[in-house]
Amino acid sequence: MPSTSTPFTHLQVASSHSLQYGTATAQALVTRAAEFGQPIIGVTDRDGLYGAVQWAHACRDAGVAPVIGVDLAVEPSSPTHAVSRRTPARGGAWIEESRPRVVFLASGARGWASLCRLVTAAHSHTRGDPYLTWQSVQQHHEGVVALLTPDSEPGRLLAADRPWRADAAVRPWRALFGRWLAMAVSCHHRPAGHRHSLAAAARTVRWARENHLPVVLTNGVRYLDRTDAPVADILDASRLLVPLRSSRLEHANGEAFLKSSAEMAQVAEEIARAAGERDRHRLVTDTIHLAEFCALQPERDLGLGEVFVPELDVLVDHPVTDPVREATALLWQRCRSALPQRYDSGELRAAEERLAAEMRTIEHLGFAGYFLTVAEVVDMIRAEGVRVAARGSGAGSLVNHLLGISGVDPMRHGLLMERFLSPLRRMLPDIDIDVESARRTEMYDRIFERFGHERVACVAMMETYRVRHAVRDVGKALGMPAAEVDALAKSFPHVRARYARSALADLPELRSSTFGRLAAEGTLDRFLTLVESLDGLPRHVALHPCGVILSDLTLLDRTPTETSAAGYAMSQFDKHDVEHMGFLKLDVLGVRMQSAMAYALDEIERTEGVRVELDTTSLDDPDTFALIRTTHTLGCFQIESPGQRELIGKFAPEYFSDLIIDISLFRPGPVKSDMVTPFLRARQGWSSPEYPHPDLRSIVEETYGVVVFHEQVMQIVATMTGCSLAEADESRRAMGSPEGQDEVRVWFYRAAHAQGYELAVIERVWEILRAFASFGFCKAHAAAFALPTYQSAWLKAHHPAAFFSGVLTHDPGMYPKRLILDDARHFGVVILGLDINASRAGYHAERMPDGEWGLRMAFQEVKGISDTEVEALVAGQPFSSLEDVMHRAGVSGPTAENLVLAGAFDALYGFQQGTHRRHHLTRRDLLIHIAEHDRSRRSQISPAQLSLDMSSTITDVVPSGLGEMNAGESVRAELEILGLDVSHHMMEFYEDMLADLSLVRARDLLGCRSQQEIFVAGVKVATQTPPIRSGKRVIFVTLDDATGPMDATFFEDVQDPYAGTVFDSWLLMVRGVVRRTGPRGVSLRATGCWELGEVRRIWKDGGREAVIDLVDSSPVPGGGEPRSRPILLHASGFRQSPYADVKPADQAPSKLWHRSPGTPGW
Amino acid sequence: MSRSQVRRPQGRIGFGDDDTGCPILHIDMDAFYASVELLDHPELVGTPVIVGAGGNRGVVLSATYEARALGVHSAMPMSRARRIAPQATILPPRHSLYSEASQGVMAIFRSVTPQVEPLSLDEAFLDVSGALRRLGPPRHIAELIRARVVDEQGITCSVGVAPTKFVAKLASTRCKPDGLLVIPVDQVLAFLHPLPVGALWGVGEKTEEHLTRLGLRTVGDIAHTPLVTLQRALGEATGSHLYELSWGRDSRSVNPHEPEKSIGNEETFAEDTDDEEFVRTRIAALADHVAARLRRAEFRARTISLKVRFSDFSTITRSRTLHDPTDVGKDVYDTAWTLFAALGLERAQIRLVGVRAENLIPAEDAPEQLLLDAPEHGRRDAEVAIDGLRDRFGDEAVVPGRLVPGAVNRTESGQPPHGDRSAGVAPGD
Repeated sequence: MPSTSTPFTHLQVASSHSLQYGTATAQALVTRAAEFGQPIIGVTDRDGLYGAVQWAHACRDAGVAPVIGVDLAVEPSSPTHAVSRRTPARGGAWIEESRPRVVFLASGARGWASLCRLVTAAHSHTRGDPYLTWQSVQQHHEGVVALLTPDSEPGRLLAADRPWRADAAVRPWRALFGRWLAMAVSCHHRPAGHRHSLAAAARTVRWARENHLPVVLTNGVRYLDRTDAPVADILDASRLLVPLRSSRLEHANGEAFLKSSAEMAQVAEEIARAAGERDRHRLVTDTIHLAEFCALQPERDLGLGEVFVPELDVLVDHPVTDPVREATALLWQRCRSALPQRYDSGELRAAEERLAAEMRTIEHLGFAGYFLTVAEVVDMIRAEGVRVAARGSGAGSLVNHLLGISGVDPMRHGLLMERFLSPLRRMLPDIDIDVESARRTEMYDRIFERFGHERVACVAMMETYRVRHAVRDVGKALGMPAAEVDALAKSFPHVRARYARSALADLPELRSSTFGRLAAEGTLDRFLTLVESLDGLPRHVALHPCGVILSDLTLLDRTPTETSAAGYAMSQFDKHDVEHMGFLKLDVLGVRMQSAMAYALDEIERTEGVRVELDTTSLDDPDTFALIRTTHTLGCFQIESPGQRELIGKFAPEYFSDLIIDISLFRPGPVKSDMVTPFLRARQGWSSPEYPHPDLRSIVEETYGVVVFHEQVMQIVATMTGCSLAEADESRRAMGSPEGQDEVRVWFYRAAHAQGYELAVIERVWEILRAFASFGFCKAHAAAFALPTYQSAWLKAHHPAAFFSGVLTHDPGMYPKRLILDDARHFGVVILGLDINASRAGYHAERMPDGEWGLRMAFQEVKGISDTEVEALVAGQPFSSLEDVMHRAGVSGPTAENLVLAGAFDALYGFQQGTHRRHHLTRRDLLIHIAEHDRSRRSQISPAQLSLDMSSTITDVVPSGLGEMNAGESVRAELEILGLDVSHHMMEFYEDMLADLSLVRARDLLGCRSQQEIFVAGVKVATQTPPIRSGKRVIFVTLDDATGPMDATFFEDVQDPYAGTVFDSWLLMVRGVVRRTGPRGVSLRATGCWELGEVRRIWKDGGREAVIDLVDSSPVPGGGEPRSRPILLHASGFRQSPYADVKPADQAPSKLWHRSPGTPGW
Repeated sequence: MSRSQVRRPQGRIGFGDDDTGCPILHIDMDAFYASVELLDHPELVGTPVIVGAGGNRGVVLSATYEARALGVHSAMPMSRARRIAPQATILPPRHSLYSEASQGVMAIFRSVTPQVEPLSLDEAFLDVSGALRRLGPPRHIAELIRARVVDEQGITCSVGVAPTKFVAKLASTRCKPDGLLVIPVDQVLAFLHPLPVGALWGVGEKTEEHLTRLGLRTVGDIAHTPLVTLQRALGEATGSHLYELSWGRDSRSVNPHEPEKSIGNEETFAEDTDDEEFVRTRIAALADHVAARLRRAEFRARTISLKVRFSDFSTITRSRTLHDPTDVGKDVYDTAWTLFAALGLERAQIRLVGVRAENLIPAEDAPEQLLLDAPEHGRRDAEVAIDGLRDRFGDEAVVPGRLVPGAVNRTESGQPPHGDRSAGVAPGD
């Protein structure tokens, strides 16, 4: 007979992957179970297996055997006739969770497969309302134990003391599951009548005994500790969309925590006593027996670590007998036949050797099918006429190049296969494919069609609570006024929920807000505690932005799927789980720059009749590099950020390989180990490159002795130790962790010594490698990035109008369109206004009569215009009048007004700004006409009468005597409707003041002395708060003053008085100290800033003197000790502010400027 | 103040003293509720004070000018007011006090002329044409009234004196607080034309935006636009209405006999609720109250309307016209509850409910009920009897069963048995 110290096993545990239900992570639950000495633990998340893989791993790490199950709603046997509900007039309907629930536990591989199928079946109805029909239970019950919990139909009936109805309800389950069925009881000491009451548990036990059904004990666990109950309540409130005080919530009473074995033994005894059981331990022993029966071996049962790719039959049109051999032969054949096209006779031999070497690895791993599958996808995308490029380490493989997957020649750029695919690790490598963002989902559809829905699924992504969501959900649950919750949520930057309190205390713009004050007073304590308790909990499942799984026919036996919002079948596993599960995951990433370039190429063809083959253009065009060296690279891929423009200014790239280096240098790693400075010094000839040993010279020569690439690390290690590149890559990976570093160090010293290197050399090399640690960059990845960088710069250099059309239409960059528009002006492209007869959906290039290039504004920019309206406008061109537009294109009144205000009819009616000639029409006459038209349309009874009436009574526009809009009004209308200042630059309206105050213009910045204090002004076009080395937050602001962009940096001491102004205004005057950073590099260290509108008001009233007074009376930064605040310590010792890697809070009108975390490192 | 666009400019304003042909006075108490409260709280004079229900519920009913300087304005949610003016003193409203003060003020007005048209508790139009011989020119009368209001009620008001109602109202707004502004006949246009179009009666946010797009920013812009153009842009009626106003023409006369149009009560809950049973008890109480007031005023209602305001301050109003006019609480409740049930609300968080009897007819004009409906007489008789008891023993003496505390278990959702009965005063009350 077991004693009370018998370890218990929990079989019904909801982890945090039970969305908005469970509060504890798999890790925490398993660790606790292990501490309790419980040998087995089961996870039974609600509605899915989202956490199954993590559970299996957590159990493996803790030495506990996993049971995996799922808690699903099941259609009740006798459908309760739901009264047809009317749609509530306001506020929405209740979230119903009335269906009974059953827990299904997998036993063995068969059970796991059934579990996956059950979950998929449950999600096959309406999205967001998963439940099982009895039919799907019948279809997928093999290998599955059904646990009829207190929430199951029989469980509920017994709680309600209806045993005779429970008899009937259990009958079908019994018939189907036979001995694979058990009742489960739980006691949370709820009042009698509750399904978690002692009485219900006892009654269920008695009933089960009478009916000879096994019965087990669970605790319906949903939190780790008793004290977590309030978090469960918040989750209930958010899930059911009711406030905490609602009577619809069953408030947690703190019992559903992971109890110890002794605590569970006590519960078991109480139930047994109440049930009149003689054997007080039978409940516990039966539970353990069931747990042992269901305990899984993940490798065997889940197939963890195996590899699955689509069957070769799918790729070839004949039956396959020996897939591995045939795939290998096919791969050989495809690669060999491509060799002569890519390499001339001089290179052919080396290429053949390299191909043979790569093929040996591929054959060894049996991955030929993988490469063929990826090649098939890329071919398919290309056949659709969609631009495609590989990114990532895959560019290091010659096979990928020969298959057309990667456009970069690995031989020419010294890229290594081993960085991508190593014979030492049997894991499918990662190939990422960039496609045009505008056609990404179309490509998904093709992939699903080509490989079949039974082999393809998208990858899920767990969205976890960050501060804004947490604030919203807690605020709603506490019944705070919606407007207040909204204001509070929006005031936070996108930080983790756990930093809510410290953000309110630390960030100057929050500290000075009312919320900051309330928090300081302690008024928000309860609220903030709850907000912080939600930190990191999964909130909802979303489609991963790019991951696609390609598998064989067993896919649905190995992953549960559900439907994404966009209608794609989506695995419930995230990208890490998918890798562990051995699926072929292809990242098909939508890249807007690819769309922009595709659009530009079409524009070139349309306007010049030439089809440019961008992918085969030579990579050493001097004009392109000349453009790059001017740093006028707005709109170009990867090199348009302020930091990158500064780096380019110093670097002055001349060759494609320089671009690869440039992209690799602009990373946290090189910045941290200060590679940039020695690199630039050596490159500019100020110092000579240093090589620790002549053997390493050839490896690091191209980077002037500085280690920049992963590939260089691998080659250095291989050279110094004599190991293979694959082994060298293993040690490179190992160096990512401190323990790994220690191990590698011992080995490296010994091996390098054995190779005959002197200790001093070994020590120096080791220092370099250690500093490099896990930072630096994969050269293959950088090379893959550099290709679109070069291509976009090439387009900008040679076809600026087409380039800007593409960039503006697909909005690829980090800057607001108005800055790109201004850049186009600087490139001599004339900006052409919206024109009802000349504009199209997107921007387009126009050759003007004088041979100049123009850029025509797009209909898509008009506020509120629908796709149908755009289509009708384009299809209906040319139009003869406003009435013609309204009649034939059927645009709505507001859209017609916006078109008029944005100037779309100026050409048609010959309007000229600022003129007012009697009896001449103005935009305002058109507005009146539209108003009249709208009113007559509203007063009509039927559409038939409308058309009759329109043609008969309203003819066309007549003059009304209203004057034309002036320049200011036009620009305001453009900003409001198009989000762009088209006809005039915003700053033109401040020219007089800028001149009077002698503010420095962007074009004159280069002429300023270093350390000079100057004032500048402009439209804020971007703010960035990237992570930087010191752990402090830095705000980078880009201003545009019509003569070009300029960058100012606000360090922490300036943020206290000025951060609010920086974030809240969009026209700024900035005081700063000039910082020269290179031949073309110049930026400002800001020491103050003011809202430009306010400055102008003061200037209007009091002139120059008054502005000087304003500046003098504003705070001067510095002084005062910096406050202590939390600092995240990166594994490498890289300190960063917790508020850094995040988007700052946004405020309308956001379309006019851009905020981003920015590229790390600068 | 709806015409917030019209601000008092810096320095002295004036359009002269000639009040010939300016018989219309618009008198507006300054920060009425707050000013009345300050009479009891002299220590708070000169400090920001907000009148509004305690807690974070309800809206600002009134605020002193010191509080307004911090951005507080009436109808602003209290939670927001507390946030932007944390230092302000908050006083719970005492409606009986205000209505008493209002009666005193209105009595002063009526002692000047019977031609008094009250717009609300703290605002009225006066036509002093008939008092000129007795009391002197309008300006003098205005000064007299201002002095008497201060002397007798201890609070200040602002008076606009003008040829027409809408100009008088603009003038009083312009000279607030504690001011007097005469707009002489020949200065009306000089006063009006520089004002923003939003100042005009009938120009809401949407019309203002529309006018701005047409380049019409000031009243003067409107005046100098051809009438036909305005009519084309805004419709015939609105166009000519604004055109007339822009030339200072307003044909409305002061109408002292505004009949009682409706009787209603509403209740803001202490906490937003989705509890149907709780709301049902409150609707029943409101219906009971409204019916009693109907009977007291000897009216019957043809139409019952129900108002529901939600936590986001959005509001739904539904009404139903009855077959027979009623003053019976049960009828009012039945109709209001049917209207509520038809909304099918589930998750919506309700902030306020209101019941209103509209389309009133004097009880004596109401058609007699048929004999077949005799039992209904019984119900009415019972309620009349209850009225009597209440008159003698107070309102809580007899309560419908549904309203007895404890009849519905309130403890689950933490609601007190009775909501905060703050509101209840609305135009027409």
